[in-house]
Amino acid sequence: MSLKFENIRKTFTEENGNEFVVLDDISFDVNDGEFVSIMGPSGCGKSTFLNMLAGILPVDSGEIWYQGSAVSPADLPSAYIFQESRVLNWRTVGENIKFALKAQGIPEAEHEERITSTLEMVGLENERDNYPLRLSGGMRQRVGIARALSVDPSILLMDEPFSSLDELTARQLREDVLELWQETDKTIIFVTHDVSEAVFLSDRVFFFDTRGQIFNRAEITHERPREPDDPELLETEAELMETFFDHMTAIQ
Amino acid sequence: MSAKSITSLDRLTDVTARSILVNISQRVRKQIHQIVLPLLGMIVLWQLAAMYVSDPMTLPTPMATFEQTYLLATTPDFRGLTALDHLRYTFVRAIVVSVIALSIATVFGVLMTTNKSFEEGLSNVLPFAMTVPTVVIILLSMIWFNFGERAVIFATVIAATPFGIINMWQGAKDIDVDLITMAHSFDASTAMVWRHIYIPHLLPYLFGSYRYILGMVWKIVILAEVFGIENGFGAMFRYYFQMGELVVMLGYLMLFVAVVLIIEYAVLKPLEEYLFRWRG
Amino acid sequence: MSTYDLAGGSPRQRIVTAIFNPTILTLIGFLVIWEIAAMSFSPRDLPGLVQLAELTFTVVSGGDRYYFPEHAWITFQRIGIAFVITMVIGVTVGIAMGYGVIERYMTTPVMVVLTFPSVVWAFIAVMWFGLTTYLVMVFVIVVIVAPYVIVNVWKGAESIDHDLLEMADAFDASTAMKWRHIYIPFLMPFLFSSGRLAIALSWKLSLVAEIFGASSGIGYVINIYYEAVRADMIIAWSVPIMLLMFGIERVLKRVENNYFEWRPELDDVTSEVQSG
Repeated sequence: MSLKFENIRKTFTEENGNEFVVLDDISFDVNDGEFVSIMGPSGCGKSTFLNMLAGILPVDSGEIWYQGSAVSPADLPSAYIFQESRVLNWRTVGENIKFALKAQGIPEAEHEERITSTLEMVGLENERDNYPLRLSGGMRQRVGIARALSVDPSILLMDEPFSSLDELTARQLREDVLELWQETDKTIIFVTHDVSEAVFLSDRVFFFDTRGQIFNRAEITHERPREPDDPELLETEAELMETFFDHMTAIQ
Repeated sequence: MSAKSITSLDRLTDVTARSILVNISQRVRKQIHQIVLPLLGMIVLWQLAAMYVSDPMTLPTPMATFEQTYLLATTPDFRGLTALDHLRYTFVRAIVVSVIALSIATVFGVLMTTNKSFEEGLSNVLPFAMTVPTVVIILLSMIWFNFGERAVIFATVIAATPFGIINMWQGAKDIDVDLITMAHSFDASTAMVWRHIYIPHLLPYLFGSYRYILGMVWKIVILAEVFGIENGFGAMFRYYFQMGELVVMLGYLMLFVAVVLIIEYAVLKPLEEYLFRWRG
Repeated sequence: MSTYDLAGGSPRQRIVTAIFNPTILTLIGFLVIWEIAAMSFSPRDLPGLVQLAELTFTVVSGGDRYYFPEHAWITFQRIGIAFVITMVIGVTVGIAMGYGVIERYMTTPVMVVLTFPSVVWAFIAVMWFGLTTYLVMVFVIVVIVAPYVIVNVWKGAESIDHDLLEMADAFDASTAMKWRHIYIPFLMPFLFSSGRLAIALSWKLSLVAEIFGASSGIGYVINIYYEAVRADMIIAWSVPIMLLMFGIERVLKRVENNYFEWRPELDDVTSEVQSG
């Protein structure tokens, strides 16, 4: 049990002073090298959860355990891949990666090697001196992935990274991410609202509802490599959607 | 139409009326915050500064200045003209010049959008025309046209038009080509394309360009009037500057600022918003 | 010769395409009109192109009654000092406004101040300070140009991309890194265009201020020739600086385009403000 969340809770105060529960008592474990998806409707707090792990938002209460000891989000060896690529348009692809390396305090001597190898991993070795605005949306997203990989995190946090891309590009990137994951043994926490994406990628899927609670923990046991349109996967998706709608009607 | 749909329409207008009321009260509140309070703040600051300086020759108080404005507007000066007469002179010049400049700008702006050579030629040469200082244009035109009304008009047109052309051109560039293609795909006649697409699309730019041109023409007319003409605000500024009458100059300035801002933000801008409310 | 070389063809063809370039044609057209107009005017009112070139050369080489290098130098000093002060004020206030709440209270005052004609500022300055070597000119330029710079920088500061700051937080970037890699590059284009605008406006304004508030500088000399009704000398004295300012403007534009290589297109603010 490498990563463990216990009773994570997050509330926001609205402008009129009302408290609003975003995440209520979230507890689950993630194994080393596991691919886990968090799935839910918009407003279920899934992105908030990821932002807390990345240290962008503070955790209100609850505990995070990593390799047996209680840690704060800042101590997690994680890197974030955003929904929009969030690259610095005025820096070249290479400099964008350097930004992350410097921010994380990685020694200057390693920068060269890390930039080259991560760009190779995402297939952008020829775009190192190019500016992001001259790349396609899919390639910019690859820069974001390379930037996260460059700091060599054990955990990758991904917030709907493919949702703003066209479906063909997204499919290609999904396969590439799976390949990278298998090569590097990273733990991935992946947020999505797309059930087929979750089923195709993950070992396990956690379903959040609009009250900020987990109502379903699904294990996806299909053999890898998987095919996106495999009828068995489609069947699993249908079942999961069924439970999802049942639950949503029940809590209303 | 059935009875049911009439009632729902009634309710709709009712709701619209209420939302308009709410909208108006919100706007009034916003305007108090954004316009009235800052203006009061400026006047208070001015008053404090005047009290600190305590020399009306260097900085008169706001009240003294506003009183001066009132006096200027109601009593004739040595030429038998009140400030309102001078305002009329400046106003008429500004309107004449802005209409001429807009017409020229529209012709060239449209030519630039429809003709590549025109676009290339003018877009490279106009920036140079823009580096010519307004005051040089005015002085030359005064000499060429013998220090009169025509000199003021000519100088202002020459100074304002290049800026107007660029503005028109940049606006006209944004016309939605897709809509024109759409119209053609429905076999719309040329007349229909003009009536429903070109004109509605060009009008806001025309209006916007006019506002922009008038905004700068005011000030160029003033500068031209400073050199060798006997009426209008610019002439008055110069006259009272040479007399060393700061209070009178500021009195004129306040009237000028008030008139320009009212025309700009209380007449033209709301009119533009109303006429082109489809733009959302 | 490669098949992609569109400008190709024989040398003669190339010369022909170069001449029929619309920019050159417009320029030639303008010069021809000038020359024809000059024929029907007295040379003192509108000199022909050759005469003008000679006159300008005499002026620039210091052969005129007024010594051009000296007057041009003092005008440059005034513009330079005013430029530095304007940028410092504009950038500080603009950034402060971009991060503060005073913004909604500032719009109206800025609008009011921008409505003042430049010549009125020059009059006020002379009444306050008398004839000065620097003060009147610098005051007029700063008071008129700073609001434009403030508004421009403020727009930039306001549009900072908060997603990028969040990204920097996710990678634990320090405040220094955020300034260096996010805030400053983000503001840079706005600073640059503000600077170009400030230069374009300030030399025109310094002429107006020099006419009324100085006993040296290009504006001062131009006014003397105006009172002597010598249009030819007014043109000869303004052409050199106009060419210089136009050249500076083009160079800055070029530098800007290279510097902001990452950016597809930039709005041109200098083409929007008239100095009246």
